Amino acid sequence: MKYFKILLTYLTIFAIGHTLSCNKYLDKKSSNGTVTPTSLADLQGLLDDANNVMNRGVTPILGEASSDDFFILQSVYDSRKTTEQDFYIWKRTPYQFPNDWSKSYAPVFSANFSLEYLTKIERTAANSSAWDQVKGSAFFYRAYNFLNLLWNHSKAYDTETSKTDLGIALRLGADFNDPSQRSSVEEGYQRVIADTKAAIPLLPIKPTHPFRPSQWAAYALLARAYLSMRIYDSASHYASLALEISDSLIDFKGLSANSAKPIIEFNTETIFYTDMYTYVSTLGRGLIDTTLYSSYHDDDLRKVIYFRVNGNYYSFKGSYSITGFFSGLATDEIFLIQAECLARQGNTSGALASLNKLLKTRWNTKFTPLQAESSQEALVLILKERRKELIFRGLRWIDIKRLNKEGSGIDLKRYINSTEFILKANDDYFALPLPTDIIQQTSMPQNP
Amino acid sequence: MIFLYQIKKNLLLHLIALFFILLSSEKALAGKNDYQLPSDTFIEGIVIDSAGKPISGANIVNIHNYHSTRTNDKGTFKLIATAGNILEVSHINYETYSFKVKNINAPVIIKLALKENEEEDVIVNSGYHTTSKSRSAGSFNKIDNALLNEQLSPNILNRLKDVSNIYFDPKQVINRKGLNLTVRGLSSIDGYTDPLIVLDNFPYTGNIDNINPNDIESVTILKDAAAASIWGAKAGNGVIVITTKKSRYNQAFNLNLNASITIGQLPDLARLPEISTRDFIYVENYLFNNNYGLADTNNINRPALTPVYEMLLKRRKGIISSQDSAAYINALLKVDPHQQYLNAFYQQPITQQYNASVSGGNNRYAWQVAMSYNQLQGQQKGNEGNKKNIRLENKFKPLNNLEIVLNAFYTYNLSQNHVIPAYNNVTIGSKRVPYLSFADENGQAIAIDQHYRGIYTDTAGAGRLLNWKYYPLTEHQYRNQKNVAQNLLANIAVNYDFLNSLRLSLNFQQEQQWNTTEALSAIESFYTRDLINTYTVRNTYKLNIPLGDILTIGNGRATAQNGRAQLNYTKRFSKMSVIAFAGAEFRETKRKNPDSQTMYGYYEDPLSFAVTDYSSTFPTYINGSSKAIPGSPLVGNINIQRFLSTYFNSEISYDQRYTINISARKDGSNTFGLKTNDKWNPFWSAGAVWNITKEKFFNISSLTLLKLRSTIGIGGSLDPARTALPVSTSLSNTISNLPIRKISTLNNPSLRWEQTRQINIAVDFEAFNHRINGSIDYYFKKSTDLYGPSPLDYTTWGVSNAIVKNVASMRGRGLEISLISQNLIKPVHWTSHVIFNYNVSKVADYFSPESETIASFVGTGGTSVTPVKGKPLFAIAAFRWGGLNEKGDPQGYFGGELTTDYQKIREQTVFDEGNHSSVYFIGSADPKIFGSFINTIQYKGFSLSANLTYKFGHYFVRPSLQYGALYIGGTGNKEFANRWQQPGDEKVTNVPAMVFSNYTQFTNRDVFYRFSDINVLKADHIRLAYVNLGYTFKFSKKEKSALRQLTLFVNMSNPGLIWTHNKEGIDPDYAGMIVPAQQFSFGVRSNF
Repeated sequence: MKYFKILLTYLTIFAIGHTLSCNKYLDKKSSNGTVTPTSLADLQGLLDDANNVMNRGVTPILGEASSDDFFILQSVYDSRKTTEQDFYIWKRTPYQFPNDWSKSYAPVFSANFSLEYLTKIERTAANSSAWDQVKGSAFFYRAYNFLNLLWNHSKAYDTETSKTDLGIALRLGADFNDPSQRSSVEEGYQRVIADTKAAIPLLPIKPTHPFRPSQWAAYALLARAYLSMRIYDSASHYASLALEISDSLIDFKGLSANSAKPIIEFNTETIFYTDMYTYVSTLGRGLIDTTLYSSYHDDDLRKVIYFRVNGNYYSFKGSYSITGFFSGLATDEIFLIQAECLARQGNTSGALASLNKLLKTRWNTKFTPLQAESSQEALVLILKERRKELIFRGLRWIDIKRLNKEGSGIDLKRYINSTEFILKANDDYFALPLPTDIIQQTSMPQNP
Repeated sequence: MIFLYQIKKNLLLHLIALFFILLSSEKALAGKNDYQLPSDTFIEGIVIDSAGKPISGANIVNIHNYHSTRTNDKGTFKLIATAGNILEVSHINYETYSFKVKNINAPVIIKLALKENEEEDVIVNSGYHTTSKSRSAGSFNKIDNALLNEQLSPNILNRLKDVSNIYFDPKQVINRKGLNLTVRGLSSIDGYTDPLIVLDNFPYTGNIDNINPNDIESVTILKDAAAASIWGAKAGNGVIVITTKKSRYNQAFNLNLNASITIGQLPDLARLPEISTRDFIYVENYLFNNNYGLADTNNINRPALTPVYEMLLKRRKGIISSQDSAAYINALLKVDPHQQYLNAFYQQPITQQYNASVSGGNNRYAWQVAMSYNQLQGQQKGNEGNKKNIRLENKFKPLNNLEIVLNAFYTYNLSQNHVIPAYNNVTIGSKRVPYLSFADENGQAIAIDQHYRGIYTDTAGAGRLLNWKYYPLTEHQYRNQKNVAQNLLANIAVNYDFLNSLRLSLNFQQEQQWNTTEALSAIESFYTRDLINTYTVRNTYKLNIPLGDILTIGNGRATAQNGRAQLNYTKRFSKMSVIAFAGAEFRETKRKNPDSQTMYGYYEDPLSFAVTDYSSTFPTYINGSSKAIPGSPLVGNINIQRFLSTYFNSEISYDQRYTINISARKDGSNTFGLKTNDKWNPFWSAGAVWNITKEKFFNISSLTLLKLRSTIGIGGSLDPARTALPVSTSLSNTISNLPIRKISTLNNPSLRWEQTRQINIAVDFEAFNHRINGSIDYYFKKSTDLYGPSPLDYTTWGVSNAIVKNVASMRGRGLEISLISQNLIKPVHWTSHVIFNYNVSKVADYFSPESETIASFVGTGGTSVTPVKGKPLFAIAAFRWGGLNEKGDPQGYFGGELTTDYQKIREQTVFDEGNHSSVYFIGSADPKIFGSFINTIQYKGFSLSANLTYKFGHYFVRPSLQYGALYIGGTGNKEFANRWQQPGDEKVTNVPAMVFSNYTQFTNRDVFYRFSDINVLKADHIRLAYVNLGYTFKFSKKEKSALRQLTLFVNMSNPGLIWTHNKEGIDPDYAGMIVPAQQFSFGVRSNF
């Protein structure tokens, strides 16, 4: 019996032992010749990989390129690839890697990767700010890109249907073996909001570089998200918080209209920098919708700062980007969010004050503040100015979707070979189709 | 199984726990020993066999008090016992016998019966336990000492060639590092294909050359899942267990002395199918007249021109007359290139092996000391080396039930060479030239223009540079590369027996290997002079590489640590016997890739060297371009592999009729992904044996054994180069200037081993009074989870749409037959041993566009890993040959029509295998059937054995004439003489006409001819592997000679091909290569 007792003791020790140090033993890196990004600096480095991964050439272009601020000439249309032609006329078309979808999920991976590895790094007094910065940035990047994907590939948020409307794949881990599944639009937006809110206490108030997220950017992102959800009080709240941190605007009077690129990157309005992936070239070849162009007053400096003559029409040259189309967060957008929300809340004077503060910097000295009799009238003005100010910023597509939910009834029209193509308000196509190869590989449902 | 689950992890604690238990139980036991009251009584006795001879080493246990002892070499024992106690006497070779003590005062005589049918039982070692082949369902291939000694290679693995089921692949496989041998065919595509090599208990990390074959008792190859799966994630490619000679208790002093000398022949260079010198010069003339390569005369890099070209240039300029040139050509024609190389660079290879071992032991202590010394002289001049091995083995029993084993091996292996050029490797530029002479009639070295034209090096530097000539004959005197490998391996094992049926074994092993290399190139060598001249500044003649020798040193090391705790349970009930063990182990291997450092301006005595600036670039002399000095210091990276494993194995047999084997194992490793480590996903095997001869209904008297075995199970295979961790590069962002990281390889938390599932069905038989015995094994293999590219859902990582995952798969099946027949017994003993292996395997799943078409095989010649669905990994497809046309151009088929548009044929993407397809599949490049036929004849002291080996069912690409290779590299085929030369020749030859390099589709034309079906031949052949002749003197004790046995032997290996399918007599294993030369050995083995 004695021996059995001994054996029993031994087994018990085995059982206790097995939970203790095994994982550490097997965590040993198998080669020091490979650089495994595991330190805080490594993770920060992943999130700072701006070009083509985190900030530049990343955000979706398809929504903007499907919108109504521009058109292309027949000759340009004819020389496009079939895929681009089809996208231009809102025709469902097969498309593969690489694309908007892949580009948006690259930063999501880096964010998830950082969050996973961060759990293995102890947060100490010495590293707390760097640690928080990584964690906050990762949350922010994930939310930022999820929101872009939702705007493009899902229907507009609607409290009635968003619990069942098809959202995007909310990937929250870095393991590619986990299958991708589409969650609902509701879950998507809630994730964006939760992640962004989680980021706020961890991030610095203002960034050291516009490539990096900050509290400023997080508030702006929340304002954006809530606006697109049509939750205007929250949007207004976070817009104000963002503007409290900084509300500086570029005075267009100081810009050179003759310049090929009148607005420099990383300007005082830029809260957070991203630009679009040029998956399609139609937007770059786009000519400004003539009605839209003529809606700019001659004393509105944007008419010469934003546009250049191109044949009989006008092209866009007013991006805040380094190259390509800026899609990041900037204070002008936040002013417009604030103005719109205040108007929707019935605060006509507040709304007009916000709007005029912005427009004052956009006009020449002949600017006279805009007036409105009612908040409804103010809202019409604000939405008109919103479209004019935020042209080619990746916002028009979601604006059309959300305003149609409010009953604006915006139909889109294209003319090719004298045929008219119409995309009716609230058409299913406003949730752009997912890439064909992704639908084939995963069992995710395609948009209707 | 619960037990197994619990002992999963944390070895350190386990070991502490075990030692603690050991100590506590030790105390208990010690107490018992002290407790020897006067009333204790002893029983004495003797254990004998049926012939009355004493049996030593029999175990006697008193079931009553668990005291035990062993018989000494006189077979006697003494044990505490009282009347009425039951004693159990057991021995591995005899039936266990129990009896009741009746009278303690009278010595007992115990007669043990030999275990039935176990006289010739084979004990096999799995590395975790030894088992008898008769009880196990697994497929083992044991190569015993006699068979190992049939061949004399100083490398133990090479001694397995042709006498085992291992296939030694003669192919030079591109991008495959390793041993190039397989057990039961290939089971990996992009992964690791070497079987696991185990030395005694643990995987061997060092160079296999370190193991002294004389220390080896036997080798066991674990072939099927039941045999190998105990090795878990490393077992998928099969396991080779090398068992060293062991000392034995109660063994008289024993001395063995062995010596042998092996002398090889010089290579038969004349067998190479090379273009004749006359034809070669003809081609050079032709090229010269077409101004081929003449632009080089104006090239600022001063590339060397061949002697014939230099002569033709002189002739064109009128410097020499046509008689001069004719005389010059005549002189060149007299040069025998083979003799030139043999005289200058080759020597007779000689291997000397000396070995001495002494062993002995009493009932408490056994020991062994072995030493060996090998002296090797290679085939190339100055290639030599020596190897020293020392081995110590000690085991002792401080207590009856406690054994401690200590082993140490040390190897010192020195090899050196002098950078002797291999045949055809003295080149002009990069061109092989057949008429080079290395020495003049007085034996003085002749300069060869290797890099630069002679007329340039004659005058360059106007005497202010070092001599810039290359003298192949003497170069080796100034160059020396020395490699020293040292390996130290030590292990300790503690075996503790308790409760009569349990044994606790603790093992620890540490292995350490150091490699140092030293390459010295003296200032006299062309290598050094060339480098110094190259880095001399023009005009100023400033030396950026100082005068002096160049020394490059390198250091690498590897360590391995293993620890294991194992509990064995052995119990025999009346008809049932149970052998089971469970254990846990850890293993860590650490490999440091070599550091290297180069010293310029080095002088050995007095020691001095210069500090070199590796970071700057310096203008080079020849063309003025700036280059950095080569040899900047390198620090090698360290690769660490860790494993934690638990395992369980059991063998339950009933009445020797039925046996069931079950094993399971779980591995965790730092090279796997996290999810893999966290999953409970064990390797397992199960097997059953049915010994039909034991059944009552069985009554075929001529069949003494008929046994069915079947197993199923899973083994894994690892590629140490894979990592589950993400790999990243560090850069900085061009805009923000922030440091950034870019992930280049994704982390794969589910990355794991490749896995091979195997089913084995076998029958063992023995008939006609043991005259014939053998086994037939049939197996299916399915390898899954093989590494391969897989389409990636880029939602998960937007950067790529493909990733390497465990997605590919292969299938294989095969048949192994082993048959030993004693054809004659007396007075001449003639034994035939047939080894037959059949194996086919093919790719089942692999995701790449190339894997969809057999055209991927074209151009590989079957020598590179080419995954094509439904086909073997190494295979040959060929262009359908349509004969030569009236211009001497080879013709293929396109759309059923003859064509010379080779580009179109190659680009064709759809290949049916119909009669008119332009490309079709021919067959495997690996033999489907291979094996040996060994005959041994013994008469009195004489012994003669010969081994015929055979390979069937595969194809090879015959070396052929390639005009591109001939023009650029100077390598031509002798079939040049049979080429198409005039219309009408197409009826008698298939060798395309010589065309100039601007000919339409010149390169594609070469490729088409080379890989057309006329150049694909059946590779079937039969070879005589070796012949052995020996004579053994035996000395009986009566002769009072210290010498007990003396064997003298001679051996001839590689006598060559007996038969081959192809008419040209090409050796398919070495097509286009130098065939290994014959070797003769003689030696002596003695035992005192």
